[in-house]
Amino acid sequence: MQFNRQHKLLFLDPNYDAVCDDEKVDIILSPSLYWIKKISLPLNSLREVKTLLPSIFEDMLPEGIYSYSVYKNSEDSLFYAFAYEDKKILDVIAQHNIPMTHIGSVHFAQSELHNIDHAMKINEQQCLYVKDSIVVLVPTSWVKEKEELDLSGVTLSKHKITLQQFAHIIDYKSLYGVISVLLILILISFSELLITTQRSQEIVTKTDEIFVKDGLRPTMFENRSILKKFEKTHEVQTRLREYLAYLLSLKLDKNEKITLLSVKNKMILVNFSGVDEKKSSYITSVLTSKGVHLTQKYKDATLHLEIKI
Amino acid sequence: MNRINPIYIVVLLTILLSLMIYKLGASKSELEENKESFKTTQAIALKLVSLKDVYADNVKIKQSLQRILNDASLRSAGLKTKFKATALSISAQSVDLKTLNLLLNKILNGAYIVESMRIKRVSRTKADLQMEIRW
Repeated sequence: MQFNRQHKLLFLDPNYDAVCDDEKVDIILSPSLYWIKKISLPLNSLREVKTLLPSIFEDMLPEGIYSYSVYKNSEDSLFYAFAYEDKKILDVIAQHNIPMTHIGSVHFAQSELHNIDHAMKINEQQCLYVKDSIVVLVPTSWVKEKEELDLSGVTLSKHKITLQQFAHIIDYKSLYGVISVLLILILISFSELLITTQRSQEIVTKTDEIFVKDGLRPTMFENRSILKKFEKTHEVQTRLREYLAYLLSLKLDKNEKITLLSVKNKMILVNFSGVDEKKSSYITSVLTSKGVHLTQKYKDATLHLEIKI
Repeated sequence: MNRINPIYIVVLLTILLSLMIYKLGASKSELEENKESFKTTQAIALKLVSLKDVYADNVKIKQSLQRILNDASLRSAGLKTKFKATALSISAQSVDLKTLNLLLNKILNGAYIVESMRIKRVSRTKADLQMEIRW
């Protein structure tokens, strides 16, 4: 009992005039569209047999790009192996103006018509005939009793094939390889993208934590500005101490003394009294040699220095 | 039976991969930017925290200055001190050099912002002092 049989059955042969009335069809392939071998192999798995099919058919097939199919017949426990050219079948389908969207399934005549007990005429020259359990096409003249092809009593088996529409232009094996490689690369890229995004997010969180922990201002512009202010203060205060150390370490004679030391507006004012001109030039040369920027004024044995911090 | 041309799948996957690579590149750039930003923020925060701790911790600075001024030698030297909201003024007339040295050593060896200072010699052993320390 077949529950999913909904479509019209159509026998496909280059020399058989099949009609498709804009409805879904299940196709039965004529023996002229495939090669068949009945074989006995000490194997149970169809998958294992499938891998052997190209070598099984190697010697008998003409030049072409073939697909293979196999099923095990439960009646005689033999493997029925098929080789067919997708392109050739597709060409016949196109020749009969059958849209691909209207094709429900494709079956071999062998699997669907092996039980016919009489020859079936498909055209004036050829008819279908079962010989030694194999469905074959024979010339009409070979068979005495024949009837017109009638598929109304046929119940479709589960043995069907899927036509590779692009097999003639594409090497499917390498294409699947390319697709696999692409999928792997996409997967790797996606994983890396996830990892990178996660790491990026972690760093942003860490940065935010610094803001909270160290009480930083909301923008880096403000923080930079505050830091600049503090650095400037630190620089000025360090330089002030440095310059004061230079001034206080100057070697002065007994009558030479600092009478005024003033610090204001980033300027140091110093008055040295009791110094002669020679001594004053010694003082300024010592200070300038240490990188101190100063202006000097000498008057009445007093040296006035203005040092920019 | 109508099948999608596998080449379309390859093209689609190639586009998807290109998109993914582009997105990954953008994401990596963003990661580098974030890393850079983290390093900068960390460095700025480190400097800012240490400088703030030295120059902007009002309570700590006031306490520390108070400790200096409470020194027995300085307390007896007649220093006039005035704490304001953001500064401390110190002034003294004819303070002896030993006291002046002690005070200046403590102030200048500490991390205080010396806003202004005026030391005027009045005699061989005495000087007038005016000083303002800001925080």
